[in-house]
Amino acid sequence: MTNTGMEPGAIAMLVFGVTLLYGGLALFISIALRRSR
Amino acid sequence: MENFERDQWRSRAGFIFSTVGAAVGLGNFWRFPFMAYQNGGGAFILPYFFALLTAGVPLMIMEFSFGHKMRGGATLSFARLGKKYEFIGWWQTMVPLIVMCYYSTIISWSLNYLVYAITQAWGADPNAFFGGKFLGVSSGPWDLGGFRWNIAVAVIIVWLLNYTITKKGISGGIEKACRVMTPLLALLMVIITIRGLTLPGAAYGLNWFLKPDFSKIMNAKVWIAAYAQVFFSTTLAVGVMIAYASYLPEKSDIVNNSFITVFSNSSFDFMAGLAVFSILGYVSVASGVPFEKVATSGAGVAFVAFPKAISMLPMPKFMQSLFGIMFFFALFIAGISSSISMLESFATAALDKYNLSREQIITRISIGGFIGSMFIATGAGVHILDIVDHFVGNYGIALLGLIEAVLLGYVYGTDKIKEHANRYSDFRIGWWLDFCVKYLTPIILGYMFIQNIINEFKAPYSGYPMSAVIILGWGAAIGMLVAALYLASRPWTKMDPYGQVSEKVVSRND
Repeated sequence: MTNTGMEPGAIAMLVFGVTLLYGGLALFISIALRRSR
Repeated sequence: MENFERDQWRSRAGFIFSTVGAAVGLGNFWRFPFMAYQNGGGAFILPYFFALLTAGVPLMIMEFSFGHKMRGGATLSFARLGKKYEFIGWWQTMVPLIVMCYYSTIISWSLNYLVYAITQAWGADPNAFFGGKFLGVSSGPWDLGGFRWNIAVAVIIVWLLNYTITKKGISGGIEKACRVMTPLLALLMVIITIRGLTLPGAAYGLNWFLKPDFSKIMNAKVWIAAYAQVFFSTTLAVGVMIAYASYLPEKSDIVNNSFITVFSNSSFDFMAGLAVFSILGYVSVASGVPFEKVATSGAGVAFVAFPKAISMLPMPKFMQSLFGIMFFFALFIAGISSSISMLESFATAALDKYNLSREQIITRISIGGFIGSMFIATGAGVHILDIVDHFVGNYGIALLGLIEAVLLGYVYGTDKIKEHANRYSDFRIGWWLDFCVKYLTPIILGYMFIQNIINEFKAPYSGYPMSAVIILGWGAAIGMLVAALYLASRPWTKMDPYGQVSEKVVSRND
């Protein structure tokens, strides 16, 4: 085992996961906040 | 027919914090990261996200809509659908009643480890400490091996907390507690994740978690694993979400609240994966042990791998201890916010049917649950909880999910679910819900159930004695159904404000 950096495939999936999950969550919360105003 | 003296959530945020608190539990820390690790790494995110949109969200909408429309917990809601379906509601609430017993004991482990973190009492060999000195694991499920008093004392604290919070009701207890606990858990998780990601070797661990193996997503087993993860992680089919939704004010959003709850839970899942794998990567690199040997799934991650990591962190000892306290406190909060939801699921069912006060019901459930937890606080506890958890999960939750999807999809009707859900929601849903609830979910859960049954008869579960598998495993699974049928056969004794027995409380079916 080595202390290397993240592989490109792992970085791509990290960005993909963060965008889908946290982006999705932010979108739904913003809709709720907009509607409550 | 209105419900008498029915409590209500005070705010939308309070409701969401409570549903997220219910969904995010101990499993988020040690189930999702390893499901990804074993099923294609980063490629697992694709079936997981697909399962999220086709099972997690639609089933959550279905449960919120059903509980809100029927204004009752699982029992009253199913009874209102048809008296002959009342037992389904009781069956659903039986699951958390049993799970609570061992879940509370696992929370008590976190409480013990929170104290152990101060001195790092696990020493140089956390594995030997956990199974030996701490749990005193016996030779098998029939060898109780004596009480673990440190665990028993923590179990008392956990049950006192469960009792105190739920006794105060929805708005005065659960909502108030979750408005503090859920944001605090999110904050702790962010701190733990940032510390993990900044450790040397974190990238190495993350490669194991996220490096995609796309060949695996052609395998049906990986898709089933993704659906199982989403289904079990979102606390569906156990009466919790139906009960919580029944306390929403009339003009409440159903659709967007479901999206926010499910996406929040999955965000916790993903963050836990980042935290766990970056820290395990550090342990692997720093100790020179192959990653496969460091990465043990299940509770071992929290109580063996993490203590080892805490003692190895490149920081002063008091900072290591502080990090350990934070981690076990996060586990403790995640556990408590889920255990109170399990208690509430059965309490709402009983409150709806019987002429008893909330305090009387909560006291009875808490005493019963506490006694059950005490069996898990013995040397045989891990064996018992392993067997019961396997059978309750596979033959309780999965089967109940299948029955619920069929009943609500075909008998109640997805049109009614959609019509009610769309009334006050931020945005509307359409044909997608019909497809997911009526076709996709029953096929996937049905396939899962048949596969589980086939595997079960190949060999006794985990090599346990057949007597233990039959009595503890099948006994728990079938016992839940028998108890549900009995409770459904009992008369309704709930009184209306004029002191008359309100059998007709269940007659509403509009």
